[in-house]
Amino acid sequence: MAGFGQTVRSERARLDPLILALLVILWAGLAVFVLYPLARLLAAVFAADGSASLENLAKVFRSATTRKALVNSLVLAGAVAVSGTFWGYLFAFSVTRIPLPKAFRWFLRGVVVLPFVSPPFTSSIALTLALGPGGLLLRLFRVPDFNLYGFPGTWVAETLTYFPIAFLALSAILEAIDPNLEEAAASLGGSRWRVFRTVTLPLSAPGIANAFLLLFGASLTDFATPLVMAGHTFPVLTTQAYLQITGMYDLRGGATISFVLLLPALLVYLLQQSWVERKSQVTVTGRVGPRSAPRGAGLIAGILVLSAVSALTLFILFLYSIIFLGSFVKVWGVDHGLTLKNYAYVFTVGWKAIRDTVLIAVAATVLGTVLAALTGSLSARREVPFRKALGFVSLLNYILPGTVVGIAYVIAFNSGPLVLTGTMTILVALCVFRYDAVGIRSTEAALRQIDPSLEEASYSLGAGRATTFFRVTLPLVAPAVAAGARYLFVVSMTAISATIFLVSVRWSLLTVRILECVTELLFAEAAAFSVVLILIVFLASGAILLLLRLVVPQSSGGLRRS
Amino acid sequence: MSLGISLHQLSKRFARGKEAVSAVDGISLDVEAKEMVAFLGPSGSGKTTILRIIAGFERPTEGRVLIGGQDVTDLEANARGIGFIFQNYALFPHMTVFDNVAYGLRAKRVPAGEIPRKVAEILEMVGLKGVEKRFPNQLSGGEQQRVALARVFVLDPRVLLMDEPLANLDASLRTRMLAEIRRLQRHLGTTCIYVTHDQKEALTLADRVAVLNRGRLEQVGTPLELYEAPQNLFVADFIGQANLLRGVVKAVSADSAEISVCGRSLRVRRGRIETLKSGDAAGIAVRPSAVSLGAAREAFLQGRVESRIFAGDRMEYEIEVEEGVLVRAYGALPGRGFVFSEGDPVGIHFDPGETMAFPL
Repeated sequence: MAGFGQTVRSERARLDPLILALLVILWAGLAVFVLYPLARLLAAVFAADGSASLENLAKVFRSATTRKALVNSLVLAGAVAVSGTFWGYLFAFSVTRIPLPKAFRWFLRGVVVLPFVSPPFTSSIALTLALGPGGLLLRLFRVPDFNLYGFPGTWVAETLTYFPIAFLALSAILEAIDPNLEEAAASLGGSRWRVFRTVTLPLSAPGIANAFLLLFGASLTDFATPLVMAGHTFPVLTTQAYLQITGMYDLRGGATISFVLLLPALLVYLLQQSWVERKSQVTVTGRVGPRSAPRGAGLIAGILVLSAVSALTLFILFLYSIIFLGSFVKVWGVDHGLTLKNYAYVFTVGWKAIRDTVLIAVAATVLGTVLAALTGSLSARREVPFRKALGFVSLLNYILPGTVVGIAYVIAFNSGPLVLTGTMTILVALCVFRYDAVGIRSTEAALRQIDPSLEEASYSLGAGRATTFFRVTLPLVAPAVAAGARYLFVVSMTAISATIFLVSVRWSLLTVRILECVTELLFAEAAAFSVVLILIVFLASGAILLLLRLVVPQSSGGLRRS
Repeated sequence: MSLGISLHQLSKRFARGKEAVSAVDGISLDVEAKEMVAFLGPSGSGKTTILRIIAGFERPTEGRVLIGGQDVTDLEANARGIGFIFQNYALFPHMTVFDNVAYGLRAKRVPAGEIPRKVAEILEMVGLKGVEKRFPNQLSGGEQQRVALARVFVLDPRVLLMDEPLANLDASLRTRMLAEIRRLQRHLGTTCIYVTHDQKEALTLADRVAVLNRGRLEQVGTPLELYEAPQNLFVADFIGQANLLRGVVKAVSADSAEISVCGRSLRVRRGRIETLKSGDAAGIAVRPSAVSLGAAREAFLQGRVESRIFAGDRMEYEIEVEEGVLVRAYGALPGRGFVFSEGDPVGIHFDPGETMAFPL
């Protein structure tokens, strides 16, 4: 007879020694490359003359330029959030609510994705070539003098760069709204406008708020665009922190300015997260059934929306073709003769930057993918201690503005126990610990979606833990891991806001070379660099997909069932 | 080789907040080798939890599981030699049918040369020749079910556990698969436990049925025993249909009890007469087939036809005998007997040989 208590067991499985070892390694990495730099940054901001003080903060706030930069940053972020959300909604509405030919829909989605795979200056350079001094459009329309630089140029360039974020957030939520709801409203006598105003718009409100906050955060922490477009008349916090360090050699001052940036950025992030937490009414129906096609927007509204969307699409394509054409001309705006010398320049003078960048991106992608797969699967397990903390700390560098992370790395690894300045290690570590967040999250989400019965089926068929992991679990999360790897590679190639503080003579980056070309007014060379970078990103992205197909042949349709 | 299963005082408690919730409460049961036993009960009755404990996916809070006399309570799931069929089939979506079926053979390190032959044999047995290279999402629901069966049967399991395997199939396919499962189980002589909430499935399939309710075993028996001699009101109601009425025991003799129902006195010979005491409340169960309808006047109870449904081979009535008390009864089809209309007064008789009484 079984006595009470004798067979009572804890639900929590014993912690595998292997898992324990992994956890120790993981936490060590996070401590060195996430917590330690942040601690050093905070120490630099809140210490003066060896004791805790607010003197540094007071000092930067005494500067009129910093105060202006704070206001400018917030105003710009607000403006970009409004315009980007507006355009994102128009595009999302067109793709999800207006009956369009499938090919055209894919075309729109493709155009929207372009900014994601481009170096951060692409829209700035293209806008400069079109509307800057001697720009194509200005000469075409014979506008004698037009000042692009300052607020308007930065605003337009950031809107073009970041509205795709709003598009993704909004098209997801518009797609989730069942057209039946709109049909129900229409059958109850609502006109198309009334249905939109009383059903579609309120149901997409959570998405709009989410998009607004995402764009606000993106613009607030953007470094590349204001550096090229804002000029001296429109200082923002990110560029001010950079100039304080590179121009004035004032690391502490730069760190303090970046801290001023950190507070609103963190606030926006927390707001956005709480919005997402509050699940919208739209997505939770859980009913899978035939859905009717969307009803469309009505003739006049449809034409208006589509014209606006088409106009912006054409403008984006125009800007990208300027970059492409610009990379083949002798001197933009002066001598439009065709030449290959820009590419010759890129592959001779710029070769080192290309090689370094690819090397760093590949190293970061390989390391980061392994790390993301491990962290994701550890934080998805219930029995792992402090798994919430693990998840949070591994996302921390991703949440913080790039400028903050870059400066924190400079402070932490220039001096002290671990000197890494000027090495490849620090650049790879930065990319891995900052951009792994996406891979970690997607791996974790994929693991949660796998029905536990699949692993149970494997056990009951006689397979052990290792076999089950390698034959069942791993292939099923591979697509999510690969998605994380693609993201990691793309951002490692295109990152600048943090990495710019860490480049050296020994290791240079493509994005930094592009920036140098822009500041030396070598726009044709900058365009050629950009084209090469975009090509590399496309090739690598394809290679990762190919690799995935080879490893898991059925991966594309794999997660649909169960 | 087929083995029997013994469950000894099996209990499983979950912590829900601060409370401990009993999902399984002291279940003891012996399943013979080659026998097919159905676990039947409403959702939340603990039937799936018991199955998962036998499979080794969950550990019991108390009690032991024996397979073929060997205590397997502390054994890992992959060391138990048990076949498990999941409600959603749990086919590996990233593997072909062949790889799904070969999965267990490879885990068992069956020589690679033998695997194709074994897989082909078992696929032929379940009627799935020629789909080896397809992926699960390219198969119909019935085909997926067959793959799930093949994947388990190819290992020649000592014991087969099935968790509502037909719940995701449409009605006609379900009937076909039911026969198929029965044929395979007989043919291979595998000991089998089959979990379902569908009494028709349980009664047609199983040698014996275990009726579960709120984690407790209400009754175990052959389908006929359960139908003919339910041991309590729950089983009487759950197996087949029954009208349940509340009464008060007037007198008890050796082989019958006199119970007052709806103001009338009724003599009952079946059920748990021996447990009734005079003055106690009692539950009366009468199957609709034991209710006869007639003229209102000299009947046992009078009522009014509340609803009438044409049910194919008969008419089904609901008759209100008291405020809020409905009695279901069957009647003849039009042209073959008298048909009542809604609102008609009607008299009701209970067949005393078919009326059962249980303590409440």
